[in-house]
Amino acid sequence: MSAACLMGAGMIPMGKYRDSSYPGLAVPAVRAALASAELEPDAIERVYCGHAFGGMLTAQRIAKGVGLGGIPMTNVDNACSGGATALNLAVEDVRAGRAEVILVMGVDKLTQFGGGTLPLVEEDPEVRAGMVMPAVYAMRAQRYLHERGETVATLAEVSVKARRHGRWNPYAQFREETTVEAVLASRPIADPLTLFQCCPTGDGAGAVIVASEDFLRHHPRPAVKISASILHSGQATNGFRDMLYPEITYGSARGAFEESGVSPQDLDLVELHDAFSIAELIYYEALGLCPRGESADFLRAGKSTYGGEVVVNPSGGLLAKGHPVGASGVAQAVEAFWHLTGQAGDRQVPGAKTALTHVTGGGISGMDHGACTVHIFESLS
Amino acid sequence: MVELITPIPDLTGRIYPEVVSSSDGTNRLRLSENAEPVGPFGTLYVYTTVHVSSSREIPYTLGYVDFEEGFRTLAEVRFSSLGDRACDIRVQLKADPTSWWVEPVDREVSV
Repeated sequence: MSAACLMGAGMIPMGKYRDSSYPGLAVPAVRAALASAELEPDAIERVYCGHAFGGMLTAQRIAKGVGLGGIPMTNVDNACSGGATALNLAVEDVRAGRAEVILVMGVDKLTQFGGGTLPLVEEDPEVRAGMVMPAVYAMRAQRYLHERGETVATLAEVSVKARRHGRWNPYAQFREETTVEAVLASRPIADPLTLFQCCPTGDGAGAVIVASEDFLRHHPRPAVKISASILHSGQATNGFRDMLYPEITYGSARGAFEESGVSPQDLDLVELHDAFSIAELIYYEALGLCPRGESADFLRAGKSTYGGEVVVNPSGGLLAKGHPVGASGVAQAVEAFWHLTGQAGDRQVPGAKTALTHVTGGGISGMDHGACTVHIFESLS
Repeated sequence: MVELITPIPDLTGRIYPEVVSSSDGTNRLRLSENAEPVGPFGTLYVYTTVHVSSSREIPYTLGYVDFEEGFRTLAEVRFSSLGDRACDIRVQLKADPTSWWVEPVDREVSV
């Protein structure tokens, strides 16, 4: 089995591109990834494209813009995990020897909906009853405050950290710092979550080139080994569910640490699914960054930022960088690639060797989430 | 053990949960065609008041209710005052001809 590696990466700054098309968003990201890998398009053997709202044949509509055709192209929807699921499929192909060089894209344009919450599938009974994604996370937050004896200020600190990191990222949608007071004074979305505790509506695209270790031997350049690539789906229940124990993330993370032999304490940076402030706290625990019950202290002690134990969401995360759903899993891989190859500019995590990325897609009744992907990357240099 | 989750709506387009009201005024919830109704009493695990919606009047309050029979369902929650609002309180199922919801059990005596 040949190991799968990242040999190139690119993205566009996330933001609101209301007049753009899907190819308009993604082609610049693909060109940047190819340039970063120093490859011509004809080196690409397969294409996977993660998106949730691009419509039919999104991959093909984008790929023709760089002259690609005649090769297998697959479109992947897995809600917020779509981009990372596309990456997972590429990794499996390379490991199985089905291809040596694969283009993975993630793209979405949320401004097409004019703002508001993410449109969920209306045939779901909970969606019909008024469920929206902020409400899912708001209930987790409410339960967290209830069980842990924390206050809303703890939640707000997550947003403050995210925007502080985003300030140094030219690809982030939000680049201004904020304060706990400003976060709590922003308008209510779903109690206890306020606007600044929710990822913004935005558009974006990212692309990476996945190649086999053998191919890289003949095309040596800064690259990153993909040591784990795990995809899980949710398990529905009619009964009790502990909303502070997202079992799909616990399971995916466990799988990723087993596959890679890496431990949570080895990680230099993590890009995790902070779609809402509460998510980051719950996922510190689920990813094993701190013991269960200690996430608030972990944040407050500065252990999840520069100078701490692990830099969580150096990009600013979904809260500050933005979260065009299908793009996020790929954008996280781009961020990991840049840090592990020393190309992350002002926000570079010093000496970064090992990174983990995590995205999980929700919005189905009876489940924690519908899909979850965890990847672990290790520097090859 | 793998639980069987009823597809909703099913081939006939029927929607669950549905309220089953008895002559003594007790409301229970049927979660699928062949299931025994549950309720009227349960525990409110968690709740949130939603301030953004493109499909319904805001604000509205939702919560997860764990019925004594072991089933959890999402429900509209109607608190009578700010002081009512808490996790892990006992709630009961209420209904009128067009909707159903839960409210704190001690509502009448607490005001």
